[in-house]
Amino acid sequence: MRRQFLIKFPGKRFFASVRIVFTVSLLLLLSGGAHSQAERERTLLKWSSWTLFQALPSPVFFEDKGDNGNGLEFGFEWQVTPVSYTFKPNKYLGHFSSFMIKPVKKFSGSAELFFTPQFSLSGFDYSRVKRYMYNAGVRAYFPLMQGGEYLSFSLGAGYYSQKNEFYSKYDGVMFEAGLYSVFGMAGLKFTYKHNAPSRYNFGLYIKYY
Amino acid sequence: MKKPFLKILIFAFLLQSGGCTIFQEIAGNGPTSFRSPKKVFNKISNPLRNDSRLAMLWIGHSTCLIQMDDKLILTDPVLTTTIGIFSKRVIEPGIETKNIPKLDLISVSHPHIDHLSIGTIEDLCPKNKKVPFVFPEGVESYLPGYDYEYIRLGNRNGYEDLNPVGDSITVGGISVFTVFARHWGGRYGLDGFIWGEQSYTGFIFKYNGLTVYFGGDTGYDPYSFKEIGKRFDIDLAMIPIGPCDDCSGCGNKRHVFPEGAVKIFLDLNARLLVPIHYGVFQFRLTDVNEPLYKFKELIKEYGIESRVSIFEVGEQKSFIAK
Repeated sequence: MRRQFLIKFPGKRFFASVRIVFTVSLLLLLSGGAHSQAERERTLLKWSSWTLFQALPSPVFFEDKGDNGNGLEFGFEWQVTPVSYTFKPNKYLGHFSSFMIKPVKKFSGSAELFFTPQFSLSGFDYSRVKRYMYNAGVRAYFPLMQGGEYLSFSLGAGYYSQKNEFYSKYDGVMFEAGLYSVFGMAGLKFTYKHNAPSRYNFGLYIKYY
Repeated sequence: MKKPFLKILIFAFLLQSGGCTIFQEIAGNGPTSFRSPKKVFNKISNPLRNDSRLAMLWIGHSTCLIQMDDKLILTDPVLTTTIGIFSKRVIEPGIETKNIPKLDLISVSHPHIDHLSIGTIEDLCPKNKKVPFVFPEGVESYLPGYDYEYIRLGNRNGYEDLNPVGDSITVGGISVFTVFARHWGGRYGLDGFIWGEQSYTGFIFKYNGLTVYFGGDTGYDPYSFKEIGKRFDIDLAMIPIGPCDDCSGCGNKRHVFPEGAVKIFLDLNARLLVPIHYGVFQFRLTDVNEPLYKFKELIKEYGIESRVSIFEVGEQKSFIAK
């Protein structure tokens, strides 16, 4: 049988909701101009705006390989960091952080536990796996330029889990590598899932704090 | 769907009417992003002046190398070609990093990208291990664990009360005081704009009977600078004069324009004024020296020309000879 190779993009409705999240986030970011700076730390605003920014997804392309052909599916993933350990923080900062990780504690050299929920917008037509899946594991960051603020890289390994339409589970070992800039908040990430129907994932990494 | 979305975007950008936000810095630097910084010729290779009690070398923007007798202080270290990845210098730093001697003190007034360069403090560290590195509380969140003697000083929660002096410490004989500034903290957008980071300050350095005021980045306040002037007998005041497009008026809440800088100088009752915070980074679309043109007019109007010293990038001047 001849194999097809297709790339699928999401529909209008999805992009409309992404635009809303993006716009609200942008408004939050921009609305506090220099003339209306906060006078003291605003804990509620801090956590609510941070939480909103965590909803910003990182776009990813997933390999979709089955008996009837190959495809490339478009989707999103979210970056969750339950625990981070900074190798050499300054004396005022501790080694450990949880969820909200100060950028300097990450890009200057750290190891973290990660949890990455993933979602394919158009589903997997060839491999017939479910749209929802996740990776979890450990990754370490190393600075490359300007203490890591301009450029840093990461290597990671962990566990992936996917299910097919008949609820058979695929899981195993995954490996990943990333290259980051813009204070460690944006980058490129490549993931390999051993023996998975969607083995290769490639996309952007976006995470504010 | 398209029209409302566009309207919201335009509205969001209109909200950005003032201040040195990351977005303005990126946008303002558009024209300079593809040019090499202007050369500084005849850079000083040995900035130590044995004939001087008080001298200053302007490295550019707010980065100044101050000599007080045998002590060297570096303020707001930024010697990198770019800041915040995208914003490029208009002119080279006034000294090569390798020619900066071992320092006695490094100070950072706040963590904005034009006042704190991680790349610069990384480059300076090998020669300056265990050197005191002072900053206001909150800046520690932006510093990697380099081998400096980091010293965090209080800033009275952003100087919300009527006391304009925050905290003090004496290191290596140099007394350092955090003093009133009106600005905002943070480095990555939200942290300063919405979360209310207050990691900013001005500094007073005292050594061997010499007193230097470093303004960092600040707006004008009619009470606080007079109070600082009453408490300290200031020989030299380094005061920001920008950024601004239309530089008329005192400034905005968080930045002084040239007139605000002159008022601060008069309130401080300092002997000498050096304008800083202009001429190096393209925050606006106008000439980076726009604040200086206005400043030169004003010092004539106020009749203080003899008490003002304007530097070229890379220039060093001695104010008090031995």
